[in-house]
Order: sequence, then structure tokens, then C-alpha cells
Amino acid sequence: MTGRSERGREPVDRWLAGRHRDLRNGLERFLDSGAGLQAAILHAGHADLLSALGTTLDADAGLEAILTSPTAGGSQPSSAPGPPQRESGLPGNADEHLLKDVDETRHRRQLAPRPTNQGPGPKEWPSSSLLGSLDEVSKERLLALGTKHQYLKGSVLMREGDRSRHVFVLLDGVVKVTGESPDGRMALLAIRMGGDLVGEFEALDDEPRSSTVTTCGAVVGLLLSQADFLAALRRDSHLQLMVTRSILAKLRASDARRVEFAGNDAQTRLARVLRDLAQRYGNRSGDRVAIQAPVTQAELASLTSVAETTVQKALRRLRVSGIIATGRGSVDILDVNALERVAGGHSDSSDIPLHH
Amino acid sequence: MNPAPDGPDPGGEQDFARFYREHLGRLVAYLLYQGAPAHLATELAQEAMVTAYERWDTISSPRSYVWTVAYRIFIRRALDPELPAAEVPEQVVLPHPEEAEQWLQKQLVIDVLRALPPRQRQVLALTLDGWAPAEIAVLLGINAAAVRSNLMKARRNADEHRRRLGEQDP
Repeated sequence: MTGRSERGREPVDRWLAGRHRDLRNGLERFLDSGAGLQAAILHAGHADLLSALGTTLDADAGLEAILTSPTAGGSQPSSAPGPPQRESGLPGNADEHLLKDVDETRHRRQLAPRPTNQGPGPKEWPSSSLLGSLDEVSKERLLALGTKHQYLKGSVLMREGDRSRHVFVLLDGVVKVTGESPDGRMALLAIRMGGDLVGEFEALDDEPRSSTVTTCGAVVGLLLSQADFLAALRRDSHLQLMVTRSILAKLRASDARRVEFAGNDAQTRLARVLRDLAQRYGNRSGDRVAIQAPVTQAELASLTSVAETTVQKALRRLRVSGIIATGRGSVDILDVNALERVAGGHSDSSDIPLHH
Repeated sequence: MNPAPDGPDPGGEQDFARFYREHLGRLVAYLLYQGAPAHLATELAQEAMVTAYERWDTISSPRSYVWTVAYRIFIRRALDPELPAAEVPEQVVLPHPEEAEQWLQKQLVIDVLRALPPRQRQVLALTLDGWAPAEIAVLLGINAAAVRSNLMKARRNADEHRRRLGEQDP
């Protein structure tokens, strides 16, 4: 073995090692290990179920398949003798369990209209969201596509770097959009809620996922394959326009945030983030606005682009001034006008929602 | 928690997830070196992973297990191309097989390894993946001396072959 380290210095070894590394790195780009993993787990545990579903497996099948796997105690199609059910979930995260009404998916190809009678049903979506902006015809058409799924907190809908192409139309609940910075820290990029579209960038440009989307609580969403999504856009010019607008709004919001943050102190930036969150996701009762998106202080810090300790100080000051009240993962705004004053109260920028 | 016969308990599931993410690319690379085209390499790797997952709680060395299984299916498939493929298509794991294949055709290291006799090819591919000679010996069922001599020959042959391909020293 002593000879090995000497040989390791020879040109052929360096060449082989270098080229092997290139090959491995290149392969990582092509392999969608997230989808593969889900497919593997599903295949092993629920092979019978898969054939019972009778779906044609396509590029999204791995994901779709795991999403349709029943939780322990859930319903199982009687035609599938099936393996004993276990608490199934996406691996890597203990609470990434998924709920799904299997029968719904099994018959989804016959089930064109959206079932409105189950789960936390669709409701009115904010006009700033895609669903809220669509006319009735396009909305019904879009909702008739894809399959409806329900997720528990912590489920990963898509992962940064993966080459999956599916799109989610969020019907209810809140998701976090996060990205990993070059030094490995997680940055919260945005929050999306019922009515919003996620994943459409990659469905349109075929690039690897630019961010990870994780559910913050129970979420109901429609899963659309890339093919279905693109076909719907081609067929429906109103939908196309509205999707384009929603994408532009996302880009504008991210530009606006960059401009707004330049040259403002942490206190102002935090106040603006809170104001924007309240505008978009707030639940108003009297003067009090509860921000429904469960954001942690670390996430507020990354939304505000300051260190967590700075956010804590800024939050404390707002709390002491009686402007906000904070709880575990919740922020209530007690005095909207005072917050507005801290935020700078520019009438023009108050129209700019932070997220779409 | 009753362990399900078709897979590990939830803790094992996470174990498997880590293992899968860590080793899928490595196993695909190994199979590419052995001569499998991209789509087949991915499919075989996936099939071996599924097999391992089904027996996760009983496998003592997952890595040796999937490498053995994958190679065995590969050989079986090479001898009899009519054998039914795995039910999970490789497209899930490899969304763009043509692009991948195109890119792989430019990776001369694959050509260099494929030009080697099978034993040398295996030993060199495993060494590149970071396996120790003792681990290789156990996996392939040969003794350590045979591993070393095959590795020596493999390196010599690989060197000749890469020069023939016009590859310069790095």
C-alpha cells in the first residue's frame, strides 16, 4: 500500500482522477436523484399500488407516485392487496409525510372537473395571485388540470438543482421558497400562498430548479406536469398573459426589494418586510393584523438581508414600542400606522408587494 | 413500530435516502465504465437501489450489496437483452437521456476504461471511486494480491490508451 501513494503522483493517475471527477460532476447535473429516490421508495413499498393506479409513468411520475402514496391509516384501493402500510414520507425529513386520497388520483383521468367537496377547499384567492387574476373560464380550465394533493408541514415540493419540471398551483396554505448561498447557508427568497404558482420558471426554461420549495403547514396544491402546463398555455391566451404577468411581478418584486434595501437601515427594512407580509398575507381584525405565514426569526433575517441578531434587536424595538407582538413563529402587527411610519411610508413603495 | 417486510422502518428510510443520494451517481459512473449506455446504467443503478431498499434492514454493507446486484443484472442483461426491464423507467432519474449520452460521448475516461479487460476495468473503476484494495478484494471475491496486480496492469493499459487518444498529461 506504500507504493500506492507514490504511484498516485504519476500523470496517468492524475489524469484518471481528474477525468473521473469531471464525469461524476457532470453526472450529478443529469441525474435527478430526488425524483429517483422517491420513485425507488415508492417502487419498493408500493409497487402494487402503482400498478393499481394504472398511470403511465413519465418524467414526473417518480414524484407524482410518491405524492400519491397513502399514509398509515389512509385509504387504500381495495383492488390493491398491497404491502402493509407504513408511515411513508419523503426521506431526509421526519415530518415530510404526505397525505393523499389515492382514489382521486386513480380516477383522475376520468375526473376532469375539480372536486370541491373535500379537504380545506379552495376559497377566494387574493387578486395579486395568479388564480385571483384569472377570469372564470381560464381558472376552471387550469383547475381541471393536474392532480390535487395535500401535504403536511415540511414536505419538499421541489428541490434546488433537481431537474424536475412539474408545476404547482397552490390552492391553500403557505410555502417557503429557499435557496442555498455559496457558503451553504439557507436564504429565504420568498413566501407563496394559495393562488400562487410555483415551479413555472423551470417548466418554461428547462433549467435546473433555482430554489427549494417547502410547505410551512398543511398545503393543498395541484400538481401539473410540464407538458400539461405548456399545453394549457398554448391553448389559452388569457392564461398565458396572466402567467406572464405573475412572472413579471415576481421579478419586479425581487428588483424592488433590492432597490428598497439599498441604503436603508435594518429597522426600516424589517418594517417594510413586515408591512409587505401583512399586506399580502395578513389577517386583519380591527387594528391588529396577524401575519399568517409562519416565519421564523432566521427567515425574517434572510428576507430582510441582515444578520439574525440584528433582526432580533429590531424586532425587540418594535415590540417595546407596542407596534408588534411576537410569538412562536408568529408576528402580529398591533399598530399598522406606526409600522408604516417606521417603514418610511412612501406611498409609491407601499404599493409594491414584496412577494407574489 | 412494526418493520414492514417491504422496506425499512422510518429511520432506515432516511438512512436509505442518504445512501441513495451519496451513491447513485457513483454507481452510474461505475456501470458506465463497465460498458453500459447512460439510460441502461441509470436503470440498473435504480433497480439495484430498489432491491437494496427492499432488504435494507438486513443488509450489512449496502454499498457492496448494490454494486454486486447492479453488476449482476448488467451481466444478465448483456447476455440476454430480452430480459424485462425494471418497472421504474430510467427517465424519472435521467430526465434527458439523449443529452446525457451526447455529453458522455465526449468523456474520454469512459473510453479508456472500457478498453480494458473486465477485471482490470472493475478494479480501476472501484479505485477511482475511492474503494480500498481490501474492499475491492471482498467485493470481487479475489485476493488482495490479485487486486494490486490488476490495478497495476489497468493503469499501464489506461496510460497507453489515453496517449493513443491524444490526451496530454494534466
